[in-house]
Amino acid sequence: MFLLNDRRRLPALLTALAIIVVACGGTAVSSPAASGAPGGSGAPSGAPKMGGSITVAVEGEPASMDPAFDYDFVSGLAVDSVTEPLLKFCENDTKLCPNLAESYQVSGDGLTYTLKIRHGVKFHDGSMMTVDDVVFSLNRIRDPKLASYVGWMLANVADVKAPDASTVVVTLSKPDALLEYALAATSAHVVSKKFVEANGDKFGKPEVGSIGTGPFKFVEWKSGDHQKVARFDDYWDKANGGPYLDDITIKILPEPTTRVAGLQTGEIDFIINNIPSDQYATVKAINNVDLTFTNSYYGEWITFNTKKAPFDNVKVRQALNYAFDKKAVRELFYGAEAAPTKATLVNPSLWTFNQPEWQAAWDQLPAYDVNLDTAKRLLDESGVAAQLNGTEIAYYESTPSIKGAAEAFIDSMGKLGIEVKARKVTYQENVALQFGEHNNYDILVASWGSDFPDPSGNLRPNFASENIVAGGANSSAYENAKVDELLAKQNTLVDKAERAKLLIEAQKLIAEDAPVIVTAYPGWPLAVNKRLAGYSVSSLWYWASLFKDVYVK
Amino acid sequence: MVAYALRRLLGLVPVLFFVSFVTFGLIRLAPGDPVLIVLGGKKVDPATAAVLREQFGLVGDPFSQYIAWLGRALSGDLGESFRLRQDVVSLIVDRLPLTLELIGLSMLIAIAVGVPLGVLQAHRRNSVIDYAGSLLALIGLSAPVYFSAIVGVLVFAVWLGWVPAFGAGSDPLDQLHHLLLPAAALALGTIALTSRMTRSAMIEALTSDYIEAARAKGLPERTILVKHALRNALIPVVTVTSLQVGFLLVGSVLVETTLGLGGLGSLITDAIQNRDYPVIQATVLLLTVAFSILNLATDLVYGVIDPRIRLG
Repeated sequence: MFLLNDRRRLPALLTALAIIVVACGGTAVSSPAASGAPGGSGAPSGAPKMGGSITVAVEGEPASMDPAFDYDFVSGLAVDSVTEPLLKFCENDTKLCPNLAESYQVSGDGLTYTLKIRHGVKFHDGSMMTVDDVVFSLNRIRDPKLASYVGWMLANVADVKAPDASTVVVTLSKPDALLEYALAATSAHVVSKKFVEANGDKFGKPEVGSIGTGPFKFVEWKSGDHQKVARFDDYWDKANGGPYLDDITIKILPEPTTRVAGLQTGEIDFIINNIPSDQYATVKAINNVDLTFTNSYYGEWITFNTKKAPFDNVKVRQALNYAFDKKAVRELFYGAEAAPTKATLVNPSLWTFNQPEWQAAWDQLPAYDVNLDTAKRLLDESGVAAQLNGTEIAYYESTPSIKGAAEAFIDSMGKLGIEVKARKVTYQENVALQFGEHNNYDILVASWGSDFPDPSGNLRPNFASENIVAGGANSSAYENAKVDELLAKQNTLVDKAERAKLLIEAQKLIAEDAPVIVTAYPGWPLAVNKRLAGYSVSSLWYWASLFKDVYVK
Repeated sequence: MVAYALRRLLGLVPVLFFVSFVTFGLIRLAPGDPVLIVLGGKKVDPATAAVLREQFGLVGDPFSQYIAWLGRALSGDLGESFRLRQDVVSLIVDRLPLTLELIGLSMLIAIAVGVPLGVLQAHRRNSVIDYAGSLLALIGLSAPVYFSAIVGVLVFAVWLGWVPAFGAGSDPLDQLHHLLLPAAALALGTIALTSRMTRSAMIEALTSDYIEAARAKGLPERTILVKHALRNALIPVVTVTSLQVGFLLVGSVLVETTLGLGGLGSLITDAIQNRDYPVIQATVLLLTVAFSILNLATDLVYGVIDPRIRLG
């Protein structure tokens, strides 16, 4: 078993080798910064052509073809091509656009969502989609017995009904500011009632797969090897572009170096997200591949367990914030143009509404730029600095920036004469710590990206005390009654200006309490073979149908 | 010999019980809640987590969980993978053939290269061939298989373009083309060991009296090497080589993950990393059976090579 653990150290070693062997004379890495707006769009050259096959690499086996279990970064590539949500994110994720629902209306009290369902949409088996399928799909996700991974998104839904053949009414038990986004995620993917009932337990699994209304239909899934989808010629939205490609193979390649080798040999055409930062230089050096970056809602940070001494002391947390050189670490892993951080997980690309207010608040936020004198002063004032000796920072090594942040943190503590120990865990163990009981670590390197284009998607899960429980994301076990109140209240409001005000106030309180050190807002890397065009990737690519308009030049 | 084999197989039953019990306990001691890991670092609704815990059979004390698992296992139901949501038995059935092909091809390469190399080295002791062979063995033994696999990809797939960089291929010929690189990378260590064993056993055989006698009779060198010396040198070679199948199995775990082969090895890696208890449990049992049968087969082969060895 130690051999398996040893594998964790492999990527760094191999990358060094790969860079030496392959990228001799390659270009230097320029910025992977979240700088451009909607990233990685393959500029169309001439009219799109029909046909062609492409291969996409992912790092692990997808969980399911069933949208109910698509809540990760690999399952969606196939699922979002086969089944579709009622609404979709558009205009760089700042808005919701019609999809399988032509329009939707929210009642004044925020409790009733009325959706007009599109007519003439065909499932892959040729049958027509009806409101029954829509009601069935939403109720299925809500069914506790299914234990859908995205069931929580519809937690406040009390009832789903179809009063006539083109209307679906969703009634809530209490107002929920995030519900409209859930209508554009896998929680609102429409599956065929007939097909799901006919296949029962087998639905979504390799032997049966799934059918939907999407631009591509399920062909096969060979466990551990690949998934394959093919163009659906009766797609309802053909007038607005694709699908053009004959088929798409989604190949499972756990080893980053092999994925990059696939880009080099041309066997892999497309990789989103699954490129570690220490491979950027190698990928950039490949002639026939474009590497671009898209803004993300993602953040990486060092989190203090505020329920444990001495991290329950705000001066200690602020001191450690001042002691850590965020800029140096960020630039080392994400390049010189990497977006600067402040003491918040709401990075500028998440200002999806009331942008001027968020900008003004950002200007006021502390950045905790490195200052050892301030750090020492605050530590002296806290009177508990000695307790920091021998505390542990838990982290995993498979993501270079996570490992780097932890090592830099240990280093910066050393400069203050404090010995912090490394507690190396696997990625999965780290997940279990970040989302566990939040009582079995001192310091942790964490990461999180909002599920929705909404600042509360980063603030509430990570800082509301209701999420200190197992399964919750509040990894600093941060508890502040005022913050709790603000975060809970904004979630019941529909008025965005009012919500922005409350969220900004909560953000300020959290920044002052410094439960975390924000280290980076990494962008999503995207590597595409130059023979492809028509692709566009946004911050919320994991909910999007990525291949609809892609074609081979 | 049949009675002997049956007795050995019967002895496997208590071993399997013991292994299943220990595995069951050990994986539960490893840190990391499988429910949280399955949900993959995202928000979890406590109610959903509770239903999953129930579905996964993780409710109650570990001993009663084991009894429940054992009851189902004895009726042939090894459960469903937590993460992949697929039946464990069909997962293994899907994935085992590729691993067997990989190991088989690897073994073929190892024997086809290792034995002749060892014979040649023994025949031309202290020559350039001997030293080159020893160097190759040194490299083969010390380079970890994932490392040789990656170097192989960079050289033979990226630079020379002779073989694909990853994957298993579709039809048999395509599959052979795809598996050549992973099998060769996997075989390196075994080539090294086989050639070293053959070399030393051959040297011993070649200096013995009956070879002198054969030479005195004027037999051709080829006949002496192959028919007389090699046959006698084979016993230790067979022992070591067949035990290597076990190491190949372990190596396949690494090479499959590195080169994107969806066999049993990558299934095991994935299962252990993701605390996928039912898959770990089933694959460990399968490996136990495989190793036991391998050892038995080795013992039986002795009898074939050297009729003086009687099993019973």
